[in-house]
Amino acid sequence: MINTLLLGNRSEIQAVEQKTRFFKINLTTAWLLLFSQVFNIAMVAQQLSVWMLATIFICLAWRVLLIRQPGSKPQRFIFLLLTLSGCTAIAITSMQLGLLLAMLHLLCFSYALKALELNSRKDFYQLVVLGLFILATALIFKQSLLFTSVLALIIVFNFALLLHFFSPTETVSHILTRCGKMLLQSLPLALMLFVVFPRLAPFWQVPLANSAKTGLSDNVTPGDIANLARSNELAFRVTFNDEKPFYSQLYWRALVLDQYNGTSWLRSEDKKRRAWLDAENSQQYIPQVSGPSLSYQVIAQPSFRRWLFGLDIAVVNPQPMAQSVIIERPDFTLQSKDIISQTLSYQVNSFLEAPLDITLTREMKARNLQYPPGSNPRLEQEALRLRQLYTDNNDLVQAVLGQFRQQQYFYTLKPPTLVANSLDQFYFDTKTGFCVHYASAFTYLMRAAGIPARMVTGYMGGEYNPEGNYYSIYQYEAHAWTEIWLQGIGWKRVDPTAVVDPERVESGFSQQLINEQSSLSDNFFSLSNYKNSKWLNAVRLKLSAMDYQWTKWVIGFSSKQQIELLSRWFGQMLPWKTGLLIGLAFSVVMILLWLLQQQKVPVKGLSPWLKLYQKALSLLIGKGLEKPKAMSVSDFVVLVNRSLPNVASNFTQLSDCFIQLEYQNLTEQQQKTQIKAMHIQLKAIKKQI
Amino acid sequence: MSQVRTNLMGSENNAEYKSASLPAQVKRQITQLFQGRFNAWLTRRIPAAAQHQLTSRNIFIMPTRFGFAYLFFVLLLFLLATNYQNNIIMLFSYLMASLFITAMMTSFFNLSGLIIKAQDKSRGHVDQPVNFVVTTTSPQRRFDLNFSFDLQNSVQLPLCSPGNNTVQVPYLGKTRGRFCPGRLKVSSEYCFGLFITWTRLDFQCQAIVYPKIKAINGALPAMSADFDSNENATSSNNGNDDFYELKNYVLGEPLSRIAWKQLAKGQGRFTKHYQQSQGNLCWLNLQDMPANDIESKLQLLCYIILEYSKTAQQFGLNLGTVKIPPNDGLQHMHECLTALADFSVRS
Repeated sequence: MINTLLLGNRSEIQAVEQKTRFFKINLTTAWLLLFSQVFNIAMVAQQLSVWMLATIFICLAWRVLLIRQPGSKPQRFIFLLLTLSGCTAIAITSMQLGLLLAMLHLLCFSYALKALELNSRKDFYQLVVLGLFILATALIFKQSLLFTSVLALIIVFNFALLLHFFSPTETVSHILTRCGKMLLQSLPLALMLFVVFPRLAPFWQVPLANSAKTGLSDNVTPGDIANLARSNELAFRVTFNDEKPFYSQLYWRALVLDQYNGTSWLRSEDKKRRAWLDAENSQQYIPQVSGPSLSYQVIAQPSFRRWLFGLDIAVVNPQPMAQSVIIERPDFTLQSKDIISQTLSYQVNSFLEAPLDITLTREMKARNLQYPPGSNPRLEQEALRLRQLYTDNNDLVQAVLGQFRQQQYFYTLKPPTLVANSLDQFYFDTKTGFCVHYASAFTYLMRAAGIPARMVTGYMGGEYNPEGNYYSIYQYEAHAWTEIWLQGIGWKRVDPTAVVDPERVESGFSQQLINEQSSLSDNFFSLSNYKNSKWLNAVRLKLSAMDYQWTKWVIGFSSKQQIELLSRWFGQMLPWKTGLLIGLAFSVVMILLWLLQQQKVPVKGLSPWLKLYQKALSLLIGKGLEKPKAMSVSDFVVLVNRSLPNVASNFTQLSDCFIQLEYQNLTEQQQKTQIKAMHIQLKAIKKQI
Repeated sequence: MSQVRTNLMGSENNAEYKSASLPAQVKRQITQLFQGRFNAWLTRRIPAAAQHQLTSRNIFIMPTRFGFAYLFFVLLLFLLATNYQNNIIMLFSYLMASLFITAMMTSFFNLSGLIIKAQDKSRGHVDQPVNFVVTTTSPQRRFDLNFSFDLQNSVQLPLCSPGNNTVQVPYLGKTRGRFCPGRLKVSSEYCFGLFITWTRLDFQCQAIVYPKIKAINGALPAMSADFDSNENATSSNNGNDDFYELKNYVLGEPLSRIAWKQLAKGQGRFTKHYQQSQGNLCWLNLQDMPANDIESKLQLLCYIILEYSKTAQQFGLNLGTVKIPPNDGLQHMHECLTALADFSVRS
């Protein structure tokens, strides 16, 4: 007995010593770590190759094994082998993946592998930071509101893991709410910094993801756009500043394809070079336009391509300058200087009535009449026949369109495959096709008949969202049409689709097209699913409007916007003003946090039971019995029993409760019942006195 | 008390000084100077008290190494965001930076308001921890509290629930004597390990470190029956007394009373009991201990005192300069052991 008294609890001390030597995390913390790893990697899983996902899965499965049986640590050489083979695999595939994705693979690989070697607190910290870094890189690829919201929740989870490490006795739900609260408390300062802190230019060139190109391509074969029509992805959004054009006017030009090689339509080479040179010399083509214009803002989604969208003759507003990121091409299309890797917003003025190229150079004329002779002999014959019938170009065009209208042409997303992309076969035999088929055949006919013509691809239409007063243009609205050049008029848009399926250009997809689209698309949220359910569509529109505001104000918040906004609020922005604002925000947040915490903690307050006990004591003083300071509570009970027998039983019970509350570790529930009992006893004492 | 300590420490320091090179000496002196200044400041800032309430006056807070690494990570995120001109990553990095501030506040409030009391005196043996009972009182929950004395092992209290909580904070004495373990450090890395909040409280603790226990195999050495007869006779001191009875030998009885004849005949181990000596008091003498040096003697004495106390025998202690009259009980044992701890040749 004496020994234990003297030596204290030896096992306790040993436990402490062991703790410093061997790092071991709580079981719940270990599971939290595993789940946070799964979540973090899931956020970038789309960018990872299948073999990498499989490797990560193996690592995580091993981690599960480690949690269940702590002894099953991987042997050193197996671990080394795994590391080496993983790194080699990444190095080999890095050329194909590109620098950015290779780095991401490496990051995820080390993140999964590191969990197998959790030997010290440092390792644990590294894992947490690596996880957060992976989340940050996930934002390079996707920034939509939904994605960011999910990511925010996962950030909370990551910090919950860290918090659980330091308070392992708490329940997970309690920790999650606590972390959520802390992040919410941090949000005001973060937003303030976001608005105020100056945006800097990039310090160095960073690698961009080189895969995942979406949207229109500059090489179109019949059937291509039908593939695009399966996609429900957003291409861009448009807000018109004042009046909105008719639906049938919404021909968003993206690419002009004026070369036909027998199978597909391409952009002509030298034009490409010229545009490139233009960009190099910063001597931009500025179209000479006049007349009424339509002003609107376009927010393009990242497509990892260069082309942008505009109605007819679109002029970027303000007028393109040397440092502008957008180039005007001589074919009246807009193009970004760099690959569009994140949302790009620009203001455009469109001149719907202005003529395009009143005069045409001989070279241009020749290019727009060119076709590989003999590639579609029946069409050539047809063109000659029509030419003989109609001398006027307009009549000829009407005749071809009339043929489309009168004969059994069918507009579909599921066209039959053509042999070697034969336009003859389409025009004379299958008579079933999508916009590219019609536009290709029509352009070919025009060229064969001696009318300069070219293929234009872009998007047709757009879904108006009344919630946010903007148009969303989705990939399935990709379209192709023809422009023919007429003397005195310039380039004129002719859309054969309008004749075959008028509904398509008047109001959008017909029910038949929607059904086809849904059957092609593997997405659950396909067109028919939400277009046929009213409330689902309303929810979708609302979410989409929120995402639009998010895109416009957060993703697209540029340094220009920042300067405008701040100078509207605080006058001209000077460095000292920025500094002052940040400092002010900082101190306000500190004070608020201080007050928030202070409220929760009654630092100097007496415990409720002590207050109750003191009340009882003061009642006894009224009876002439004072508790000496040095006397213990239980001794005083004896004294009271002797001198005031009428309150003795109540006071004894009250003191018992007080002793339990003061000197025992009670749960909150127990405390409550004890305090309640004290209240009752105190009342009884009052009555008796 | 402090004198004892400086005496003991001083000799060690001198020996080290002689062997140290000049720059090392200078370095040591500088650190000592700073430490002295810091301690003086600390004494003014957080004076000794029996109970401390933690406030902004006595709480220190600093980012940990992980905290600095985290800041570096935030900077990295900012660079990533700037290079990719990605507003969402930018927002992410600002959020992380802002969370750093929130974490700082949370860390601070994890300690703030806590009331700490500590036992001011505690006892133990050399190379065995002397535990001080530390009581924390708080109306709300606190997490990840670590308690330690300077250069000593720490004890963790993962959760400090509302009300009182106690922990035993160890102090490991390397030599016997009375020591002041110094200030009690209470630290926490809650909530994310980004910050360490700590305080160093002075409770004027005193650790009494008893000598090591050196066990004796077999019977305990003789002890004199009477203090006065101690000087002249040891073997024949009981000659005049009347033999009264033989009793079964009990561990701890002096060798001189063993009935050797009976033992030699193989009848068993008995001790002779005399009528007169029955009420006699036993004395433990330092000189009588079968060891060469003083420390070993003290260690032996320590063992014997503990053994006697176990069987509740009365004994007195004679260290030459200090004499404690025979008695029994826990208090007496501690008194004797304290005398052993305090014993010094010079005094």
